[in-house]
Amino acid sequence: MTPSAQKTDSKSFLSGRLTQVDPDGIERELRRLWAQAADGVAAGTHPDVVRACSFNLVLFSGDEDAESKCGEILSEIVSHHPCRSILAIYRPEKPSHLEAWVSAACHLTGAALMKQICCEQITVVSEGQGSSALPSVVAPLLIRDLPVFLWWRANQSHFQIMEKLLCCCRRLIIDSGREPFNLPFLMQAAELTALPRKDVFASDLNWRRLLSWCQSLGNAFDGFPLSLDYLFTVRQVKILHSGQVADRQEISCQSLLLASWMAARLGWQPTSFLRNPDGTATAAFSYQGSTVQIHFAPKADSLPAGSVVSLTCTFLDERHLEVSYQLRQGSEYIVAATDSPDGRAEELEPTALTVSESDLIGQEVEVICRDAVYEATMNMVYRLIDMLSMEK
Amino acid sequence: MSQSPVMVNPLKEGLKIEQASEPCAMVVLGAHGDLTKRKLVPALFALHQQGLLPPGFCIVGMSRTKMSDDEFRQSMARSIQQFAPEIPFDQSTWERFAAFLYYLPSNFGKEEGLFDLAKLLKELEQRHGTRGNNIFYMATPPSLYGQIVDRLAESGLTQMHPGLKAPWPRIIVEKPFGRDLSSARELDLHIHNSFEEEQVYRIDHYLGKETVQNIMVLRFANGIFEPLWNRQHVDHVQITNAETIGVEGRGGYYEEAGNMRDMIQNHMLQLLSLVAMEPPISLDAEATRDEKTKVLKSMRPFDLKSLKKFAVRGQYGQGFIAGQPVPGYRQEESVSGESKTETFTALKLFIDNWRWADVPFYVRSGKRLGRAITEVAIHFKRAPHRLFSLDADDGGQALGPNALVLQIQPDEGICLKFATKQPGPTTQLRWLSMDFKYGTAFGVRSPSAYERLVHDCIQGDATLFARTDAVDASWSLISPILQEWAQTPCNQFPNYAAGSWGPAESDEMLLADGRAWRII
Repeated sequence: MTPSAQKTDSKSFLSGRLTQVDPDGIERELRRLWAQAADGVAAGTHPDVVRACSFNLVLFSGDEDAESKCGEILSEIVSHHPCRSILAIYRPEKPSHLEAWVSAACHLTGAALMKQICCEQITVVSEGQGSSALPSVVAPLLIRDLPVFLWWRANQSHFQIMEKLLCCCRRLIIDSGREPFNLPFLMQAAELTALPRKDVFASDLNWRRLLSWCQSLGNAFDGFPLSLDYLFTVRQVKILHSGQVADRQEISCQSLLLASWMAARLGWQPTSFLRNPDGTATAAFSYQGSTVQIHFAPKADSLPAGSVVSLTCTFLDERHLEVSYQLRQGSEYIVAATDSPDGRAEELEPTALTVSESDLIGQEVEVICRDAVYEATMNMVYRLIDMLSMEK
Repeated sequence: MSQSPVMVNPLKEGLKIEQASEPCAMVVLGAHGDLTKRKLVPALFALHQQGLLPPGFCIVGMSRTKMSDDEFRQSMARSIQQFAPEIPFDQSTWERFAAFLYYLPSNFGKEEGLFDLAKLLKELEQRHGTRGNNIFYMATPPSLYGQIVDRLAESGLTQMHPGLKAPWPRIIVEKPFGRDLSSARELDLHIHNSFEEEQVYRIDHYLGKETVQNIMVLRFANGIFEPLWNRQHVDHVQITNAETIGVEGRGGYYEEAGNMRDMIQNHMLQLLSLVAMEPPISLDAEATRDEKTKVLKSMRPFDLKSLKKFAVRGQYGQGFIAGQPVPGYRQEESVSGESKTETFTALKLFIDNWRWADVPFYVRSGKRLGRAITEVAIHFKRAPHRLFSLDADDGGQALGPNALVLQIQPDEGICLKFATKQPGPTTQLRWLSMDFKYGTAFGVRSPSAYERLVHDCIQGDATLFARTDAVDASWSLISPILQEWAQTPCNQFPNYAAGSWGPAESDEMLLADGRAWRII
């Protein structure tokens, strides 16, 4: 435990500078700083300040650089989504230590940029402590009656804390992209999706990254370049992910999510998921008496490891549709293109790809209900990984 | 392979863009005008940026001005940057957008002009895959609507194939929908000769505003308000639309229209119907529009013998706005020096139904008023027994009862006014307001009204568009006043100073009922 933090003034607090506070007096200190800020406004030394909050966002991390990296991401998020953000850092391997910091994330608004909209940002660092200390500080800091999002920016080794924090959360956001080939983690995520509590549900940033792919693929069957009927004549799908061609054994979480989504949406029933002699993998599905195969393979690419690079569908009439990642004039897009019956290439309007974590979280916090499509996808993920494990 | 227009694309189910829009071409008739430059093309560009335009979409601008496709594209790029600075403009996005932007210089009042259009649309059907679906946006002076619709029909562009839902034509008509009941009916008849009602989208941009749409959410998604939303608890409702600007170079149009036609017949009555409607059975376009129309049809007709007690008109004279002297209406460009056109209207309306019997709805709208604001204020009845002394000289009368204010623009939000105890050893009360501001709670850009409405039309969702029977009902209500006012021109004009809150008669109308306009 740190000694009592020194009192700081509201000017420093509103400027976004971190103010260290006693972990058991965070709310008290925040009240003091806001009251001081109000006095400053009345005295004309501060511009108008509006304290805004429409939800709670708890970011859990165990990373070494969590304070700087996560703090930066949270500041970006709150500028578009006013909330109380709590950065909960857990490092059990370090010497015992618990400390807390507060700051305000403010941005100017109004016609003449004369009004400051401010959100509270609280950082709690728990080092060398058991799994109960951190939740006992974080839970009372949540603003009542507002939704609570728990962003799990960590790996699965701290699930015991997650369980404690989930008691006061409405949404759990994980990111299977942090460990792009860790299928057991994805399996655990699939289990979390089926949480028994009706009021808590899970989502995955890696899934959200895929939505541009889903949208682009879906758009391709809206009549141009392909009619909807083509969707029911898919015979083969090949999904390439960014990775070392030598590491063919690895199946990326993102590829599996994309394949599972497609299978779940189109009613394909999995029949096998096998390793091929060259180390790549193939999942087979039955659909209305036919077999559909999805082939997973790596491709050397500059994208982050495990990211989907392309998806190619082959249809009954041998036409192809390729959806691929493309960098055009510095912007990232997903582009769908097909070969027309007369041999011409037909391309759809590219779909912009959302990549930044703050943008992805921004999209997540706008969703307040269960995502049935994601849940059906995770159900398929579970079945496929289960088949692959049995095959071993 | 055959097309499957009625099947749902399972890959798009549950995604953010749930409803697949069908490919189509949008023809903007009057593409060189202000509406196209300031509102329409920026809205389409914003939709493109968000990926909300369907695949196989293209735009054809059409007007008499001679221009090439490229000149039109350049002009639109400049307009977006000039009139919609809030929309991020980057060259690569623009180039992709511009690639489906075309221009046809033509006289659309003439038959051959529309034949040229039909030919171009056929070409674009092949090039972009629009499947022959066309939306015709009437961004022209209203006097041309009838003529254009006739030409569109003659060139075969309004034809539907019997028994098939596609290809479809749709038409977007800008207000004013006629200038009185008979001309509105005549225009409707004209349009219906070529289009079915479900293909007609009468745009009222007020209904595209986020806060206006939020009225339904506030009322029907929250269990706490609806039980109070009736004659048992509501004393009266005030709807205010106040502008500080004058006619802004549109004197010619305003002389013909006046405030009643420009604001009340459409925006204000639509707003009122959203506030007063019964809960629809679903969010289906027809279910919502049915309920709104019922409100308009339930409005008590004006008794022309006592019209002054229910309708006040005004015209601004010289005055000051934000410390600056401004001219009177009659000194504005293209306005007659003896103009009898009203720039202010205040109405007392009653809805003769079970929910609202005897609850007055006061509506006021005007130009050059003290502050630019649009709001709906629900004034609740006072507590039945005055337990606390409000400790004001007038017993708290001036402080008024509880009010729920839905602020439409600017600073969109909701505010609840309620009494609370002053701190200390006293029972003194103070009236405070609990404020919610959209701009504070949601840090994201709200889509413009045109973005929302154009997107809805592309998707075939007519919920936020005015239906023919609603237009008819609103004209039926106000046409008698317009006739009466035309026969008895006001000799006291100008009767309010710019920067004030309208003529004294407006205040007196409420005072006679023991009420007052909100001090805004």
